Amino acid sequence: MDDKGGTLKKRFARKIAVCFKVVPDFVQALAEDWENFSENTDLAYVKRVINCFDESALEIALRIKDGGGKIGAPVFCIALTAADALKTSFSRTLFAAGFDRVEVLTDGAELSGYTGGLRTYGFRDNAASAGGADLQEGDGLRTDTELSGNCGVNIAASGVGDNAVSGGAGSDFAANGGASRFGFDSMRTAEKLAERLREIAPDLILTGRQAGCADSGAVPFYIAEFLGLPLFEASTAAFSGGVFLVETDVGAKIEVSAPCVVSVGNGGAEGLRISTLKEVLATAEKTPEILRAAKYFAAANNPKIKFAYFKKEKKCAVMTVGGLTDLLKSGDF
Amino acid sequence: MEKTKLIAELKGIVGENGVSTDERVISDCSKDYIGFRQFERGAGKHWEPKAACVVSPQNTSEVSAVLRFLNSHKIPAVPRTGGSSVTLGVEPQEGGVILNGSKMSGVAALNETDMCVTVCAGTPLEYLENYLNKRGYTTGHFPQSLPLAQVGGLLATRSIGQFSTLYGGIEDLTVGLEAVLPDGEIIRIKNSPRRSVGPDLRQIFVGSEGTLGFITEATLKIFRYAPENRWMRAYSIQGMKNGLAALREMTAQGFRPAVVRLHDPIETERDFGAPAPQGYCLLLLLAEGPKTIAAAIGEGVDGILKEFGVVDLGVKPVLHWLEHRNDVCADLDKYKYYRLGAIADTCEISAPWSEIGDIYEAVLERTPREVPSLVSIAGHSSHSYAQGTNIYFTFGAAADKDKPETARGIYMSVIRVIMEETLKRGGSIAHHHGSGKYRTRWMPEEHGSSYGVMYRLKNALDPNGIMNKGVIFTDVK
Repeated sequence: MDDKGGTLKKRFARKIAVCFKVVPDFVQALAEDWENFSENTDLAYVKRVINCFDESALEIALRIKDGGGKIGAPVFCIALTAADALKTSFSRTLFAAGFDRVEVLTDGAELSGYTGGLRTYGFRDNAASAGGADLQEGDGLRTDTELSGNCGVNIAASGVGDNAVSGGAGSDFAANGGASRFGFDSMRTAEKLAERLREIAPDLILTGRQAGCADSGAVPFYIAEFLGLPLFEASTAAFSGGVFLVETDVGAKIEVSAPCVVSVGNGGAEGLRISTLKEVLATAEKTPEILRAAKYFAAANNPKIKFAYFKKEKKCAVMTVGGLTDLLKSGDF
Repeated sequence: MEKTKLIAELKGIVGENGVSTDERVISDCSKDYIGFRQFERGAGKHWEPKAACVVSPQNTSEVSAVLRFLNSHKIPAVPRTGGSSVTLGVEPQEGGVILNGSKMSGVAALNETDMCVTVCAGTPLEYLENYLNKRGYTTGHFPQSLPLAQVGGLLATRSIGQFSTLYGGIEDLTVGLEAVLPDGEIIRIKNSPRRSVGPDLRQIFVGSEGTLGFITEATLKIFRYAPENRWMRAYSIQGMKNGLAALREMTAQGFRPAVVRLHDPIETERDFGAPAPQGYCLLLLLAEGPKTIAAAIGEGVDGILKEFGVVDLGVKPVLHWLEHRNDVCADLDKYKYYRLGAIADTCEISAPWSEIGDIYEAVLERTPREVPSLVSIAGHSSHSYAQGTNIYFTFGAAADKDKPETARGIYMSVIRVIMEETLKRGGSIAHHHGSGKYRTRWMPEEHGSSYGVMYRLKNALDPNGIMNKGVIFTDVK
């Protein structure tokens, strides 16, 4: 038992950084906003959520931390986002869940829980320009890339290169709010995240597979590339039997060595654990680290994108015994 | 009565297809959406009592015959229609009968001269509203359960809609009705714009939750439908009590926007992305009717609200709310809170203006102290009157997915605080969901000295106590 514990301690990731992003819940956006999407589109009325894939990454980190705690191998968990601001409720949620530190990479803009008035969540350049595919029959859209997620909203990109559409875990400032932020430039987003991650030097970097507006899934790859680390795509990840394992979408389990980047889907953990109100209230004194250094930011070169929304019509009809045929014939439903 | 004989007798009344003993049908018709039941079902536990069968009459005569039979044999019956209950109101008695009115469906008559529509008990509200909209009318009744609810249940639970500040609750919209008493007698309360001929008998059945009879048909008011005339605006306003004071002033001055919603800062951030400064509430207003009236209401309330230091947030938050206000109905059977290890629900109470703010604050202060696993507690006012308003508390609490039997206790510990704080300050413990079975224990305090009259009604109309036992009445004398 002691030997096993010793092995675990030796091989256990001591410092985990998780890149996450707060995004608008796009399924709640008004159809007219999707149809007329631009850098000035006001989505301030749409609730914000932690990207679902990033939630999985956050939860996996905490499970590893739990596992470390059980064998006396403390794990330090850092949640890292790039945004113009992070609402207090999100940082407190993360602290209450068990994160030791929450970091917000920003460009030096004034930060607060809220800046007042209606805000513009948009894109810096050319956000509404034409490109990609046209509206098709059915729910949502078909675009250059069939995108996942449950929001029924797909996004097309034109001028496609690997970095044309951002997304992936970590950050994309357009979705986080603020007009003068990165748009959909995955490479630059990843570059800046990587700069900070190099300073943190975690044993393990966890990211959600894809995120936010564009869901390209490119950011995790770029982060790994910039840091010179191996990347593993996984449905989930865990320490098990003394080794760090990632499980792929097809069920294969791969033993990996730290440091590395692991990009996870949302199959292994349904979401971030919930915290009680008492636990959240207990985080009142904890605040996120705001990293305003301008070095993390530079002008972004946003690709041209096109957004659209397609709403499925719903019909309601009375089903009466013997009356259905008449009803259908009448067309009055 | 032995179950086989019971089934045979009922089939003799409503036919072979009118009685179901299929366990899935019985389970589905027994389903209640109260938070802890959803959690239990998420864990695969179906702990509601098991009825012997579901009886689905197709007309009033069959309802009458069924009830006459059940009453003569003292067999308990639970009426239901749409099944959107969140109060344990439609859960059956063990071995009893579920009386399902959903097969009595359809519009019996639209009277455009008298501005009313007569519909059968099982008519889905959404169908009725669509039917009327195509003809230029509306019911003006939009509860959150609209995608599920049927007319009989709306009357039986004393439902209210999101546009209530203009149109009132279902009790204000009911022109006349037909019901079957527990002994099978069919009664009709005729349609009249108003009468002065004794107590209003409609109100014995509206809100009775099936304890005094089975509503088979209702005549409801209709209104001209002109959504293009709407005036809409969202504001942020600092502090819940300040917001409530603004609502009070608005209604005291006689303004009646159809929609008046004040979401506290927690809901504002959680549900709307906080399009308001931190600590501010979100106020959603919508006025409708003739364009000149809607515009005048808008102008008037805007002037009042500016005195309270509001920030104008434009129209989008209202449009967003309109689009998503009933989304919850689509998720009811997905157990999403169970998967998170949480119980979540709402609880609505009402109180005079002088007390409502204190009730809200007391509940938010007490629940985190007294419910260790509480995850969130928040609230909004959504139905306002000159005399007061409601608070619709929304709450969540963590629960052990491996111990679903603990969910009910956790849930009721939140409800207990809300009930106690409401009663302590003279409020009413149910604004529009009804008593169901889960609030019955507080009914003596709710009704005080008038509670005895309820029993006299019950004993007069349902002396055998067969109708929806456990609802409203702590027991039947």
